[in-house]
Amino acid sequence: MNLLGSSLSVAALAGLLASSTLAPTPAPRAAETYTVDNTHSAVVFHTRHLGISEAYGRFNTIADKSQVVLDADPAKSSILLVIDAQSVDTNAPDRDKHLRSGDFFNTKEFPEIVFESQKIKAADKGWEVTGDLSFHGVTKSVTAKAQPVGRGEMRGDQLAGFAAEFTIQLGDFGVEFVKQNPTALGPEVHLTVSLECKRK
Amino acid sequence: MSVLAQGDVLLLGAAKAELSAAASALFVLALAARPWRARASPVRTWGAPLAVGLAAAVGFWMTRGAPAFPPAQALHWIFYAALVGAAGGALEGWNAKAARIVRALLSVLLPVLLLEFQRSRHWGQVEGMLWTAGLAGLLFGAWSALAAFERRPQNNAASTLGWALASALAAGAYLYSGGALFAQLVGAFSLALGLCALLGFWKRAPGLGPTGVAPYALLHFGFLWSARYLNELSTASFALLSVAPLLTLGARLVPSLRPRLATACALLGPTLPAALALYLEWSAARALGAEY
Repeated sequence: MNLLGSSLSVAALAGLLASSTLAPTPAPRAAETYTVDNTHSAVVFHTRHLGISEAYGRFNTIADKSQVVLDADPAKSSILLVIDAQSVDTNAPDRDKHLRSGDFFNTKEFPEIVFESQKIKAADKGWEVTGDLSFHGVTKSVTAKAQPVGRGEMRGDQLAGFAAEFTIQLGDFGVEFVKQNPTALGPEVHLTVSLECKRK
Repeated sequence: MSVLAQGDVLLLGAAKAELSAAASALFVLALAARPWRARASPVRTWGAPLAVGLAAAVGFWMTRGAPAFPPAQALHWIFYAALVGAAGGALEGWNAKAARIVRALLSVLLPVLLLEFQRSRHWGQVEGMLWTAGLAGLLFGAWSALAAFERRPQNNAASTLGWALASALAAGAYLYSGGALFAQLVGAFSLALGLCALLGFWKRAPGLGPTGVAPYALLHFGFLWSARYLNELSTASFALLSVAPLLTLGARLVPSLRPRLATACALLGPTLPAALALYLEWSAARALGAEY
């Protein structure tokens, strides 16, 4: 989840920034603010189950308050990504209930996964975004790389898409089940974030 | 619900937690076995509260790791409630007046601290105040009533065995309502209660006694509220498990000439609603689809 949140925000920001420099559309002179289109975005994760196979899941809801501010100067750009932790979906409702519980994400007490960028800079084929990921009551600095996918227009809206992948350790965020059963899951969680953003 | 990982690793983790908690309780009860003989003055029994409180604290440590202080999560308060409950129970045996004040204080503090997240995130201001006051009142009333029940000279260990069985059944309900580690923790708690009951039967004395009710009441309601507000225990199961310990009091209505009926009442009173809660949670989990 942390991974998801951080990757999402990192991906979005990096993507926006990268697209501003790599895509045909010129970079904005003034800062542009983008919102995330939840319908056309996805946050997907997978982790090792008992060392046997990869288990996949996703978060279905990115909060409306998420936004990306894109500036020609990456250092002046920013991203705030808020994911609804309760929206975890692994195609097994019983397992989703367990993931929402205090054993894992503790979503009643910590309902949001938040990534807020602190530093953005250009990197190979995209951007490197460092920010604070708050998950399960723990905030840690994470860094991810992101790449632009494309830019365009639909029904008068300016759109930009981005993707990112990265990895976090659930144990770093105090997830009890993983700490107490280190061979049952993970320990790494891999996140793939795909965002479609709309300019305000 | 089966657990996320279906291998032996989880069973080993559960066994480690349960056995550690049981060993802690046994150690304390062995030390307390001699005072336990003092049937005439059960209020001076310190073994039961210490055994139950320590076993729950050890169970917490083994299932969830060391808690932070101040707690980083609401559930961490359970660990401290176990320790404070043990101390509060011992106090009940030494100074009844001070114990009543501590009982009232802890009855308010538990919902205030444990459910702070619920008030700040999910309840409105008035709703939060009403719920907190109601739950505090329920805890204080139940604690006082059960302590008075355990103080009766004709009391035996049947009530403690009933609470142990009810807690074990509640652990099953908590498992199906979302938390495997949480269920293991409650399982450790029920084991400690069961050991107190067995020692009580052996010594022909109360199991928990009025002093042991302190950690029992704090932890029973602490676990229940956590299952309801942190996990996804249903409203019906929440109501059933809220009243389950109190149904022990039905034994007081049985004429003294029918001690076996009173024992059955003390045993089955808390057990039956807990069994129903387990069935409800199991049914709800099955309705969600295949176990994972």
